[in-house]
Amino acid sequence: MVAVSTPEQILSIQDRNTGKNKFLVQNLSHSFNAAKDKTVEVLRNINISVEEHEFLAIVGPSGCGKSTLLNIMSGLLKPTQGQILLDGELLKDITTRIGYISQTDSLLPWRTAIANVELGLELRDVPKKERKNIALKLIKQADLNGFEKSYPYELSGGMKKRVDIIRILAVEPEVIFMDEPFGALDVFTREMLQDYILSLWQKTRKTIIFVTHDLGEAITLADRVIIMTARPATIKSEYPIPLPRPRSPLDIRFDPKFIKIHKRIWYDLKEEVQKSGE
Amino acid sequence: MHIINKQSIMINLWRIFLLLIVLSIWEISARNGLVDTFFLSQPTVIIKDFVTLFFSGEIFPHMKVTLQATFIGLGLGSLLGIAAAFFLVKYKFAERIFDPIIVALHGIPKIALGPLFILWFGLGIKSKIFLALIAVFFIMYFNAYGGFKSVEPRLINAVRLMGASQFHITTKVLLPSSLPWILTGFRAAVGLAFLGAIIGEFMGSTAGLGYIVQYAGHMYNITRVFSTILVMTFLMMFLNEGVKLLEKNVLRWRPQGS
Repeated sequence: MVAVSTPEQILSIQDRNTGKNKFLVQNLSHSFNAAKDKTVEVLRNINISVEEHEFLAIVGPSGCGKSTLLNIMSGLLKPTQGQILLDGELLKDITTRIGYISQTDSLLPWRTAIANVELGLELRDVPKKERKNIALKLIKQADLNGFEKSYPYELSGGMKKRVDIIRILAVEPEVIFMDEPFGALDVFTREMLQDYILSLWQKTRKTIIFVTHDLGEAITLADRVIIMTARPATIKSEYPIPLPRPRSPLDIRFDPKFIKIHKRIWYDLKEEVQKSGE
Repeated sequence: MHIINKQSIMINLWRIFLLLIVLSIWEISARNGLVDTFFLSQPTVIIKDFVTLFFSGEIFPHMKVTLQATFIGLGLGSLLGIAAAFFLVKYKFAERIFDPIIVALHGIPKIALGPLFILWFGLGIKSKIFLALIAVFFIMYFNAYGGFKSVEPRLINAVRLMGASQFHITTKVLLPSSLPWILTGFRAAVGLAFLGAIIGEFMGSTAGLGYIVQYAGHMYNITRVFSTILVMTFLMMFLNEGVKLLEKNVLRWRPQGS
């Protein structure tokens, strides 16, 4: 089943985005050897194109290979087949043009919040003074004033996530990957962070690829949602999300349009969730 | 907090009280001839001798010699132990060759090497440094090795994705992450280095706290043996406090009480 977008929907998407292909995944397949003579196929012939400034969400059942896909897309893992293009250039290795935010918090526990935010700048040899100014500005924007000198263990889950996010923003990547970034957090914190991400995207217009197993989250945030099948993962279908922006994660789910879209995609996704549960 | 403080004061008072009781019994028995002061001396005489050792300045050159051997052995042993662990964790092939060898060598009672070191490096400070070094090396190697191995891959990956080079991964992730392990080893290593230096002095030397104890023992000067042991005890207490302070400062990033 492939979703058909109405002409208005297509127009509204193109209206928002520049139409320029920022990031391309071409004919990507991946498998690994689980044991002698036994290969597991994780990804099969995946093609994704992401436009500049687009907010794309990829949804699939748990364990379908979404994280493997992101690891390949970020250059951490070499695919068995296929290629990744960033601005038309072949991506061969890790690049700082891509920022990666993972599910588990990966702040360095021995660094204070501000030192964590400065880390990426430190790696680029940005002078100390400038580093500090950039970090302080981001900390202020993220409502973390007064916590600059706190160590990660002194911060709440939501605060840590915000530090994690601004740490990536500090080095100004062109594309940001998020791998179920709010998976480990409680519902309220999640909604607050979704709100935060939306306002960030509204301001910076970074290209974002957001991976989640939560369909509601995907619809709330993204311009377009891609549904993946159970393993081996392929792209099952694609839906534009023609909901107006700015959106509020707290209210949007009661919007009849949201409910309609959610229902339609959910039937599509349900099959895959059932399959992966078997 | 308040209750804990009160409690710890009580505990300290009890400790002092018990110590005073033991010393009093010792002192009274010595005065009444219940114990032979030739073998056991007596607390007041020991303390007097302890004070004289400091006021005459007699003890300082010996303290200097022992501490020098301790610190040099501690420093070199730590560096070598950490470097060896780092090298073997980095190069799997070398690890497979050398790790079993290091484990086997660790089985040697290090004290037994004393006479050899004195034969090879002489009666001077060198043999003591080596004895301290060899004792420190192993514990630092094992702790640093454990620390390097337990670095969380997700932290390394996250920093790599931010564009870190191998060098940066080492200095910004690997080393700070294994610091708690290394410091735990260091705490034990301080005692071992001190012990190594003193044992070396027992075996053959011309100066040092170990030398004084050995010499006084031969002269049946039991009071001097006890007062020098007291000096060693205080030094070790200072060293321990120093390491504790270091740990507290360096590991501020860890939740309290862990």
